[in-house]
Amino acid sequence: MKHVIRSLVCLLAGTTFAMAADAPNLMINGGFDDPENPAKYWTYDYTQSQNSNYADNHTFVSILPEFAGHKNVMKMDINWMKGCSGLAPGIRADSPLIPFEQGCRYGITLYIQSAFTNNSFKEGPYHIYVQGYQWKPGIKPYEHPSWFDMRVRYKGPWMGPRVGWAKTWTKISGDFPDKQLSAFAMQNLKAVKFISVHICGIMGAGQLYIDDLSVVKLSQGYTGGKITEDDRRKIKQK
Amino acid sequence: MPPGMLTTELERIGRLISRWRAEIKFVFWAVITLGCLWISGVFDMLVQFERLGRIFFWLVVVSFMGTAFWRTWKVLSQRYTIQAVASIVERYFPQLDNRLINFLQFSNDTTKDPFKEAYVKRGIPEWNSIDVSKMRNKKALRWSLIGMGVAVVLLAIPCTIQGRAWTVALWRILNPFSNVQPVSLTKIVSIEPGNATVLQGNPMVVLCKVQGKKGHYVSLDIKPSDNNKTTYVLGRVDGGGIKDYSFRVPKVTTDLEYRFRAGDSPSPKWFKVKTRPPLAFVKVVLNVKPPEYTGVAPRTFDGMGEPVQIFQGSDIDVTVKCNTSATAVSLTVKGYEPINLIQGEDDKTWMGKLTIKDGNTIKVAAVDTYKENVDATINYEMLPDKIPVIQIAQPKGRVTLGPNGIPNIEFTVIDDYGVLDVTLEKVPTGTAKLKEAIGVPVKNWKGVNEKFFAQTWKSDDMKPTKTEPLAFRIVAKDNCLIGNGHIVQSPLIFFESGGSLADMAKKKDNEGPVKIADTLSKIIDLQRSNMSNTKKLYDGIALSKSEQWLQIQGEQKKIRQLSGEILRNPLKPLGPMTLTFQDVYDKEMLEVISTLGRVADTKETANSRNLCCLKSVAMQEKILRQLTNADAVADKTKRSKKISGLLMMMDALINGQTKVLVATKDYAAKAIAVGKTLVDQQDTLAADMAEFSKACQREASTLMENDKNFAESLAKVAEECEAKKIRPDMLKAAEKLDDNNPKEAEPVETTALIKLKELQAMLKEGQLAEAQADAAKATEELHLLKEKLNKLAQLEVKIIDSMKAMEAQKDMSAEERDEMEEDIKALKKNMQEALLQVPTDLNIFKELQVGNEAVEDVFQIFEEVRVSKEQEEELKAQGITEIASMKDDGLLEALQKAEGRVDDMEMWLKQSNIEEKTKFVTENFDKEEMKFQALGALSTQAEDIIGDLVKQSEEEAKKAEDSATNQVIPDFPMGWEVGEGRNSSFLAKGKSGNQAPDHKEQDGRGNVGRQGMSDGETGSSGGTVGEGDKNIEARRTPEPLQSGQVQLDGEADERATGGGKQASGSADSFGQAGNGSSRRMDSTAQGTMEGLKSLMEKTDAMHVKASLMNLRTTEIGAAAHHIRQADDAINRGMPIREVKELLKRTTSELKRASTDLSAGVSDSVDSGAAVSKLEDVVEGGTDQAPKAYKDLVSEYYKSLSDKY
Repeated sequence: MKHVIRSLVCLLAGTTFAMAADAPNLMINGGFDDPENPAKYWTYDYTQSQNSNYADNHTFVSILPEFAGHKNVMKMDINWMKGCSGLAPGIRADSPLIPFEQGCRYGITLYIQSAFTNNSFKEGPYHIYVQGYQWKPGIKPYEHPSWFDMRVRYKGPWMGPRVGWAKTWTKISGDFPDKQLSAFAMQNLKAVKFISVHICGIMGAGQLYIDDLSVVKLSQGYTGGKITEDDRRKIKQK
Repeated sequence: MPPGMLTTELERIGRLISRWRAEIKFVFWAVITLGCLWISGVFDMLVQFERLGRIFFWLVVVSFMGTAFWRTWKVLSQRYTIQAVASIVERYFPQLDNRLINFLQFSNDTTKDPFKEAYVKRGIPEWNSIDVSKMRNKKALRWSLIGMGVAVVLLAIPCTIQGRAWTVALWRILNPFSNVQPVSLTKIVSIEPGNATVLQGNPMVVLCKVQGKKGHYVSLDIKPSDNNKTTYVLGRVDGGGIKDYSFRVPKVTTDLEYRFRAGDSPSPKWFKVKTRPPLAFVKVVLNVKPPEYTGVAPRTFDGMGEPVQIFQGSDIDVTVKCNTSATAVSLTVKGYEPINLIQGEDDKTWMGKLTIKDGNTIKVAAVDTYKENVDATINYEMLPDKIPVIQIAQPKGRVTLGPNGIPNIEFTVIDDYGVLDVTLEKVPTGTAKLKEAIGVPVKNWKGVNEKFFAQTWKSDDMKPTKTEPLAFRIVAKDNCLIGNGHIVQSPLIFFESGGSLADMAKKKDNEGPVKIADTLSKIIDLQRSNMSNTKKLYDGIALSKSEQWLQIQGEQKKIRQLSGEILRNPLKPLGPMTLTFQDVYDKEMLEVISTLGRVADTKETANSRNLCCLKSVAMQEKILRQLTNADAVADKTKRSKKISGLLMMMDALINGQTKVLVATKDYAAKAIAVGKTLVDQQDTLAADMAEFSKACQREASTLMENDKNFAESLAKVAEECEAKKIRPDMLKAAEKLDDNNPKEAEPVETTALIKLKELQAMLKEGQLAEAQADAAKATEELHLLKEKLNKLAQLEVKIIDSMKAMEAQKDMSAEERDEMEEDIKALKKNMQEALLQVPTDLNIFKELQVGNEAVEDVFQIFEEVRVSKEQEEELKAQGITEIASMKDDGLLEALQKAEGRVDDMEMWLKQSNIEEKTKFVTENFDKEEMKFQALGALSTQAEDIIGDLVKQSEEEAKKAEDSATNQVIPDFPMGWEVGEGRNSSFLAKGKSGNQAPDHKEQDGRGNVGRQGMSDGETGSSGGTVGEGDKNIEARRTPEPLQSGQVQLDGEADERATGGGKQASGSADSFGQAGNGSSRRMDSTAQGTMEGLKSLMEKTDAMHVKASLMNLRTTEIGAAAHHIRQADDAINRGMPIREVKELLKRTTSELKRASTDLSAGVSDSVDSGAAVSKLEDVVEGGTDQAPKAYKDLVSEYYKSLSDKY
């Protein structure tokens, strides 16, 4: 009997392990570990977008070989002009784009640490959320798309704490999209082809460090609101 | 009485009885017949039967008459037996007691019965006492006769009353086939026109001549075929002679019937009027066959329905189709004999042929069977074979060639249908009238037969000398078959000898720039002192004299005149700033003169003079700014020219050395004696090299201040010139060549060439470094500027906070309040000064034009909002906060200065899905205060952040509903939560958010967005209107087709979501027109733009790059200028042909720029006059023209477009 129980326990453990192994990290270079270019597939130089607010964004973002025990860390310098008030654009970075499978939900985790010298705002000093993208009009789809060839179509909810900042490495996590979506959300999510994690330090002055971003597919997908006839017609037209 | 006699007697009695009965019968039926006749007569008199009625009554009368005779005859023909007669007699005479019957029966008995015989023997003694006449029915006879009498009397009585009319009526009944008309008191004598056919659409007069009894009415019945009968009373008979009664039918459109009625005149007759359509052309088909050489396919036009275009010399088959039969159709073209067309398949179709070489109208005339004429004019647009256009891409004007320069002509010949022959002619320069001089063909291109012919011609063997320049011209002939074709000549192209490079460089240095700098300095000084004087005079304007102002005006005129001279300078000393300066020359410099004139005018009111004075100061300030900039730019241009001169020298050296090397190799290979020319060339190159080295040293010191990088590289190049010993190499090579030893000279020359190329690379490196440094500097300045603006924004916030604080402190003393107000005033002044510095700072980047996206696109980003429970609880606990917002005058200023767009940054939806807790109550501006709003163009690409609407109770929503504000921001960085605030905006960045929009009445420029109340323009071209405020009112827009028309996806209550919805075709209802002012673009020449932006951006970028590289940029600048003009014209709703013209100019300038840029730096210097921009600038658009001349100006643009 004991053998049987042991076998069952072993089987159960093995299954769990197997399940865990079945949910791989879908994010590419989420830990900035690419040997040739640690920032490969990440977007933080927005010169190409011709948005004057972010023309010099890349000068405030760097990859540190090591910081506070973590190797290869992204550092974002948020200064007075870049993140103290709502009128400033903030410093931003967008993770590599990974394909989004319709109907699936994704679990996102990343480690952050911040050192803000000035943040009197109640809300989080940074915005971290998943953005869903579609191709820009006229772009022929290709692998590992450039962020500049994509157009935002869907913004997920904010991740992480709303108040205060992470003084030590803090793991924050979130899901994308929500489990239950409205018809309006469903309608918009349908166009999404890729997702990436958007990080923006905006509400203070200081440094924000990012590491080990991972995205896994969750076993349970999202369920949507009622799709109206009108929705169907629009989808059909598209 | 024996039985035999009795029988005879009885038979006689029987006949008598029949006759009596027949008499009664006849009289009875005769009475009926006469009665019927009487009735018929009466009816005929009353109704006046037509023949049919009369026949009917005649038949009735006749049938009664026939019945009478038939019945009478039947009775007469009836035969009674003697027994029957005996029986009848027995009934009349009872005293016979059946003896008569018995006698008759017993007398015939053959039984010999004695009793019977005895009875017979006795006879009938009573028989003799019988009076047979008593058997006659006298009573019936009497009544019949009475009836007859009555009938006769009845027939007679009308005769006495109506006289002949009665007898005519009886006669008309008795003889229905007679044509006797009933006798009436009033009679219609005649009717005109009777049955007729009239021209459709024409009027018609019907006339009736009547004579009769006074008081009788005359009327007209008209019964159109498509309508009911209408009766018109025309009048009453006056009892006199014959009188006319007429009626005019104003327009006979359909067939009709009519009749006249006059009193008791006999039954009137209906007359028919038929209509016939007027002769007209149904179709005029022109089958135009253009001449074969044009290669244009034949085309058929409907001459009556579409604009006709006819190529010059086309054969035209004309088919004319009329609506009715025509007897002749002819065509007339001005200047040609009329052509009679031939009848086609029927008499409605006519055909003919003609050839048209000129004119603009064809007159078609036709005649129909009624001899009526019709003609029509068909206007056509004659498409002439235009003369070829020769464009000399290079050189532009008179060219001074360096020692190694060769004539190089790059030209294009364009013809609409093909260029046939092109000849390059050399014109002898010795003659006085060069234009008329006969040229010597240098090169022929025969039978080209292409529409676009581009060619580059170079000559190695023709060189100008110092005494005799070279002059060329291009002669082109097109393939037009009319006449001898078109032959055109280009302007003369001159090549002069500039001597050595050193001579050229010196000459260039000594030219204009110094003079220009002097002139500019002079103008600046003049303007500065004039402005100062104006300000001084303004301070004491009440005491100022008219002469003083006129003096200032005179100075301004002088400034404009001097500025005009600079603009007309063919060297374009202002370089890229020429066009901007041109704008100031055309607008402010001109306007300020008239404004000062008004100040000087003593008739003007004091207030008006004040205003004009202030206006003139503002304009003078702008002029001064531009002049200062121009000064800087002129200096930059001068430096650029120096740099380009050095580069040119280097290019010339390399070209020269390459040629010498090639020639040396040739001599070496052919082993022939080296010509002296080659030795001289190598010697000259050595001398030029020395000059180049000196020039580098000289310019390095002069350029050090402004173009440090380039100056350093020049110094380096000068050093390298000495270090590398290029000149000695060249001299050595010359010596070897002089010794007729080309083989030894070749490696030395090769070394010299390599070293020269190294030096060239160094120079280019320096040039690039300079450009990069400039770019970096520009970027840095922009960043600094941005920071400055941000700080100013912060400062503004502080000021507003202070003002609010001041408002809030009710118990503040007057002194404290004054002090605070003064502080704020000082702060504001500082801000104003700082803001004024912004455009000054930006002026250093005048070449940089801010462009907008040209994609008409709106894309929506859906945002999910998640709120923690704690947050929700906290927010729920809060009540509605009311924020009072006072009006801020700064906003008005901002509105007036607004231009351009500000980029978006991080934006998000309100991270709460519960009620809006803030209510803004704003103090609005009066309408009078908001006189001018300088709206920039809408971006044609916009992203819209939307989300699920927050759930909000109606009560709470009502509490939090903001007041309608007219505190509007022109543009603003959006980086904040997307939600309603205290101010509205003209951003049109249209983030829908996740709350129903508030009612904003003043601005309303937005994207598709959510349902809500607003007016004005819409930024997007399509999209879905999201759910928003259901309680929407009609949109107020002064103009339904205001820019931004939306093609809606799906359905929504879109009547109040911004302008332009009416054009979508999906709007639920049209918004009502409001009383708001139209908010069209207030685009200026250097201001905002909409459309063409992609091209504009590219052109600007190219312009900037070229400027930084010290390349020729004037053409690109001009192209950009024309694009902006075109864009401006579109914004102002100018005629499309004006826009077309400007775009053509853009294309032309870009082509020129392309030639210039691809040519790089050559060894030629333009010194001749190119097209002066002064004439080229479109300064009199249709909108600027006085009202009376608008059409004329519009026509001018049309003619330009057509001619082009």
